[in-house]
Amino acid sequence: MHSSLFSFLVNHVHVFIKQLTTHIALSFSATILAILVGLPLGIWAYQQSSVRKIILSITSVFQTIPSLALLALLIPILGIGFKPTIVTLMFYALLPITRNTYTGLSQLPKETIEAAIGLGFTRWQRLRMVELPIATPIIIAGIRTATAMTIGITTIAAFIGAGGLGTFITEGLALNDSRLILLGAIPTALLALIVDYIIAQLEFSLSAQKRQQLRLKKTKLTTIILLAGFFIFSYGKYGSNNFFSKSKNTIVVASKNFTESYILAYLMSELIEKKTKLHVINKFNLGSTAVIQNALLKGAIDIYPEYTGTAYIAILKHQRILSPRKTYKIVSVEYKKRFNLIWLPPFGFSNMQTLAVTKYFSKAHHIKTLSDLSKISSQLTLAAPAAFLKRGDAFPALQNAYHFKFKNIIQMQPDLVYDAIKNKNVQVIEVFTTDARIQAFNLKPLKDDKNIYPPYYAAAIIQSNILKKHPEIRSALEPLFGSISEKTIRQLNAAVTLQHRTPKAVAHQFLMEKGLLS
Amino acid sequence: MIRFNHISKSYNNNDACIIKNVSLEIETGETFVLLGSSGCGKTTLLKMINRLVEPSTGNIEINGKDVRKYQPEYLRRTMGYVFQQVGLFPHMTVEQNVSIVMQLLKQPTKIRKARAHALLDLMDLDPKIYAERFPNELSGGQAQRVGVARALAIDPNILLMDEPFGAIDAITRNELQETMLKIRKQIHKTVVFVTHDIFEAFRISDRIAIMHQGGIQQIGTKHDILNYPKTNFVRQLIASATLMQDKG
Repeated sequence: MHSSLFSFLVNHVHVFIKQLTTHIALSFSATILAILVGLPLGIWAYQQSSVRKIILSITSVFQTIPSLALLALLIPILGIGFKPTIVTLMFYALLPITRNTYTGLSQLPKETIEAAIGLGFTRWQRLRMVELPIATPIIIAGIRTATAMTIGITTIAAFIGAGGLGTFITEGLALNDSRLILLGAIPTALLALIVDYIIAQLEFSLSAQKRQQLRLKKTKLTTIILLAGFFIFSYGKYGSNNFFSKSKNTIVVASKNFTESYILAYLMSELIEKKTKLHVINKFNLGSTAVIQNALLKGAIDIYPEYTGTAYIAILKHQRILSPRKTYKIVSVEYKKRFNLIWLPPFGFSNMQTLAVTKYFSKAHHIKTLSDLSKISSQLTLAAPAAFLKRGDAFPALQNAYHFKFKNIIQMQPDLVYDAIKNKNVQVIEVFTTDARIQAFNLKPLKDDKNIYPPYYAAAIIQSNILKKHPEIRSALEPLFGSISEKTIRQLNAAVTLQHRTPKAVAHQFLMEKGLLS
Repeated sequence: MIRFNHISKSYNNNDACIIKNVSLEIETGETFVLLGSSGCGKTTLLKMINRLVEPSTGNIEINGKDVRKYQPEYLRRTMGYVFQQVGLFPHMTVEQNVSIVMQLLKQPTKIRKARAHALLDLMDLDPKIYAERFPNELSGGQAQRVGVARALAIDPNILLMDEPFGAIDAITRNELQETMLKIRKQIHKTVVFVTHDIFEAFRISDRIAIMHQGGIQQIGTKHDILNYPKTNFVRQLIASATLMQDKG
């Protein structure tokens, strides 16, 4: 089912334009916000030597915070989507704008300032008529840096469901589709270059050839109109498409950023759409458990598929490993009590995390269990996502039980670990037992012979008040409960990660074949 | 009339007293030169007139009113000010530079333009050629002509000139001095002129105050100073000047 590149592009043209305009709207809003904040800050730093150091260091510090971390920190305050993204991007764009404003102003010729004072300019008149105009080229240069940078960083918006070109990149990673990654990466780079060029023109026309007033005004005007038009167009587009104000009969279905979560979310979203009168909005591809949990608590999303084990350990912070059934019971009770969230019945399959090696390697070294692996671990390199390596229930728990001594441990995106083992860069990776790539890549998941790791049930979590208000959601999803076996989910996963079909199409076909849409 | 009453100025500690108990009067309409070597306090004294520098003790009155009773910005706008470093605004044309203070005072564009062109004419700069130029397209002498035009724009009663021709070559300086003498006949203004050049002082002044180490040595006309020098410092100054002139 490999579609040709051409049909791939044709299929994506609509969503591409949407994400492109979203991307422009996000990065421009953030840059404009950064100008509105950064310019006064720079002026303040220039006029008040007492606050100068503080302002310049704080703006610098913002830039050293990893963007994803800043985003995650803002979620509890601002929720997911548009707002935290803009604020995060704004903080990043702040430094070049503030610093250049300050630098531009502080490098003004002394005699010019003296003349302005001596001629009786007030402080404000001096700033407006003399200091800012002369510093403008340097300030514009700062804005230029900020804009180009912001366009690049806006790709992180995808992690918290704000859209933009980054969506293609994260989707591409989740779905193992490099065409999607390129569809996100190349236009992002091009956009940054084009905007940089436009602003460079503006910068040039402001700095040089000032004597040709007429020409200057024309260029300046054209550029500004062009930029403004660009912005307004994008904003309007974005507004109509994406600025969702949740109406009463809207339900937001979310997913995490890997294939299985996508498929489950699409199954739910299509059933709710077809079987109820509710309007469904999909907010897929949300960064991590913390992000999606916060989004649910903030009411930014209503329902998403989760694993009991993850909830049990990552959210509820339990340590003792219990049977799958007991785990499900505990998370249901505690989620209701603590968060007023309801766990719907499990989909049927359970998914386990474990370590895997290649079948060839397993045979060659007689490794079948994690205990076997431990014996030779000092010669091996492990690749796994950060969540697995750092979460107490995951790798540290295994480490405690099996005493691994890996030569090297590499932290990686969930989907890149498969490439890593395929390319023989590493010998051991972390896998989900339902992942289709286990078969496709000839991997051998190792048995957790000390039973450290609980099998995870997959089930949907929904806001309790939504379920009360719309009990029809439960009935709509009823056919999915207990009906997806491990074999089924592995096949569905394979259709996406190996045959490069969209999760939406795979989910749809499954529902059709099961006769659930009639 | 500008009156300095017992003006002293020191920064922080009294040891470094840069103006020592100066009292003097500048008559309305005269060109009054503050003459002295660099660091003698003459520019500081000038800057006190429009409150760019405040005296530590003493006060300054203009027509009997203490300058501290005026808003500094207001005060500065009522006086013309010409700087040694010229300080034209690099992002503005010559015309805009000349009319900038009129703009601060919100005068209509038409009047500003007419006035700017008239002043450029007065300063021997053809507005047709220079009005649209930018400061970096002017020679040092031309720039200072624009500087003077800018200072005269709002037709101030008082013109403060802080070593205006100090950084300009001798030939151009000569031309500028001639222009100054010419416009003095056309416009009737009180001019306070700071210089370290005794010939310039003799040439353009009505009266001269010779300063040394923060104090006044002598105040008088060129005639008074040459014929009745009061202190040793003044005598030496004249002697060295005569020597230079003889050599030259």
